Amino acid sequence: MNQNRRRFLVSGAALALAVPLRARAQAAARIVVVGGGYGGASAARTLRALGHDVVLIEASETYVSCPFSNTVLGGFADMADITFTHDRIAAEGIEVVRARATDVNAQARQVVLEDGTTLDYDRLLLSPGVDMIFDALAGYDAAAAEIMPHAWKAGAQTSLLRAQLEAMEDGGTVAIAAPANPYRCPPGPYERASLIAHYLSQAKPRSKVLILDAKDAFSKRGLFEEAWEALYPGMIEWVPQSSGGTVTGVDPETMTLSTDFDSHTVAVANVIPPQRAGAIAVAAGVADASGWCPVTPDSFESTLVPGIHVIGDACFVGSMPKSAFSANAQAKVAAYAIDAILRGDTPSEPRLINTCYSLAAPDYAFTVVGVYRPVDGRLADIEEAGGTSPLGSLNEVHAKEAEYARSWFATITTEAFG
Amino acid sequence: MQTFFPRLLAASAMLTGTVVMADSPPAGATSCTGCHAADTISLDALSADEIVQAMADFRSGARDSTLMQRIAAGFTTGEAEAIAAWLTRE
Ligand SMILES: Cc1cc2nc3c(=O)[nH]c(=O)nc-3n(C[C@H](O)[C@H](O)[C@H](O)COP(=O)(O)OP(=O)(O)OC[C@H]3O[C@@H](n4cnc5c(N)ncnc54)[C@H](O)[C@@H]3O)c2cc1C
Ligand code: HEC
Repeated sequence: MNQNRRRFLVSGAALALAVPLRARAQAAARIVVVGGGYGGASAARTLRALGHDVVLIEASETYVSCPFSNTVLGGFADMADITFTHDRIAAEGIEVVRARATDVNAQARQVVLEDGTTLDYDRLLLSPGVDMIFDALAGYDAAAAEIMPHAWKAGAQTSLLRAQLEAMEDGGTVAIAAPANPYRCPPGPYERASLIAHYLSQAKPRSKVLILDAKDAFSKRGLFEEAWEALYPGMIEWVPQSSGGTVTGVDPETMTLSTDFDSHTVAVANVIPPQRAGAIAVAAGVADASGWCPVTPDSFESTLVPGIHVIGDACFVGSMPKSAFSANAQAKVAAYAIDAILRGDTPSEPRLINTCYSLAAPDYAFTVVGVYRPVDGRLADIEEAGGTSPLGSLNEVHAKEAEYARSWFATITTEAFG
Repeated sequence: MQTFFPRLLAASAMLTGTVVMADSPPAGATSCTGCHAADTISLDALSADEIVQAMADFRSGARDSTLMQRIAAGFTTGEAEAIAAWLTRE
């Protein structure tokens, strides 16, 4: 991309006079990015490659990836395999600020950090991911999450859940409480059930995985059920919402999960609560009553506050699912759009792809694909494209998809973190 | 794109007095690099024509794939040509 820019600058030199004054005046615009995850890191790098002054605000020392965190729970990868730094990003000339952003003053175009420092911006891009809504389930709060981990933000929560699985005795039940839509990574709870079953089937074969679900359908259900039947017969039970699956409360002391009709006392409880856009989005005024941030599909600029762009899990832009793949794809579209806006141009109409790989075992994967284009101010599926891997595929095809899943992880983490 | 893009840029800039989309990739192109990179599923050895042909064969099913059929179906031949040109620029 650097090359591309350089070529632009070279050919642009002869055209300097043709460039409108406004575009030149804003050439050294400063873009502040909040969040150094899949969305924010990818956007920061793209904007930097396009020649902009970029500040990346990230609260954590390291970034632990949710994608592939289920392979750690499955016992066939280490935390180190899913942990990334922002060192290479900093080396590319992006100013990395290790702090939490607590407020945004859109009028003054300033971001406020937790210590009161303010940072000026010409354009602000938020990719803060999600926050758990802790008061949604009676008895579930940050303290309860230390006993019944959500592990829906990777890191210490992932290690905790893994340690609990290792400590569990054979014959125990692992419960996964899955939330209603929308939430981060629609197929994630079911991939997790699969890979926990993979571990249990080897280490603790008399154990069970119980999915208590707040919905009656889930992403790639047919493919998951086919895989469970083939790989872990009888080990995984799914209780849909209509059969009383919705978890309404928890008691960490007795390790009990209550549903409308029933209560379940289990050995390990993975409670995934409902979610909303990260707190900074709410502070900036870009989140609406749904808890998510409506944006335009061409530039991912907030429809509520001009000058602020929101990408990734935090945004609502139509039917694109909340995935790392989406966050990265949106980051690149938003970065080119911001570049165009700063040059006084109109962003071009985008097209975006999403692909979610799910592993049912180390060598067994399948995918769901979507291709999206703007329709009436939202991204909508292109009907002829997309869909899931076919049911009844040969094992060698699933093995190939598992290989491609690893290849995707290598590619996307390199695009995001260098 | 090496031959196509700068010429387009120069022409449109001269005509309209603005630098139109100097860097804007064609729709969809930046999503491809989420999976395709030099050291993973590399497209580096392919010419623009070969990429366009592969997309057409994936779309029609003439060429087997795990998922490229489902992606290629979202792009017309013209769109695939623009993407291929961009992916093979420099
Ligand atoms: C178990 C699991 C498995 C998954 N598997 C996949 C998969 O296989 N494929 C896939 O595509 N997706 C997957 N996902 C989804 C993926 O993790 C998310 O969609 C993706 O991380 C979204 O990126 P983001 O940039 O929006 O947010 P994040 O990646 O969460 O990044 C947000 C960053 O912002 C920082 N931050 C937030 N607020 C502030 C603030 N105020 N100040 C400073 N920093 C801040 C956070 O520390 C964090 O680093 C999975 C998710 C889970 C939970
Ligand atoms: C989700 C990952 C993913 C995305 C996104 C993706 N591809 Fe692919 N691509 C693959 C895989 C995997 C293969 C191997 C064929 C298969 O199994 O689908 C492939 C194969 C190809 C090939 C053939 C390569 C060869 O060596 O012959 C071409 C060309 C190609 N893709 C072009 C594209 C273009 C253009 C885009 C963007 C519009 C794109 N791909 C987006 C994963 C992806």
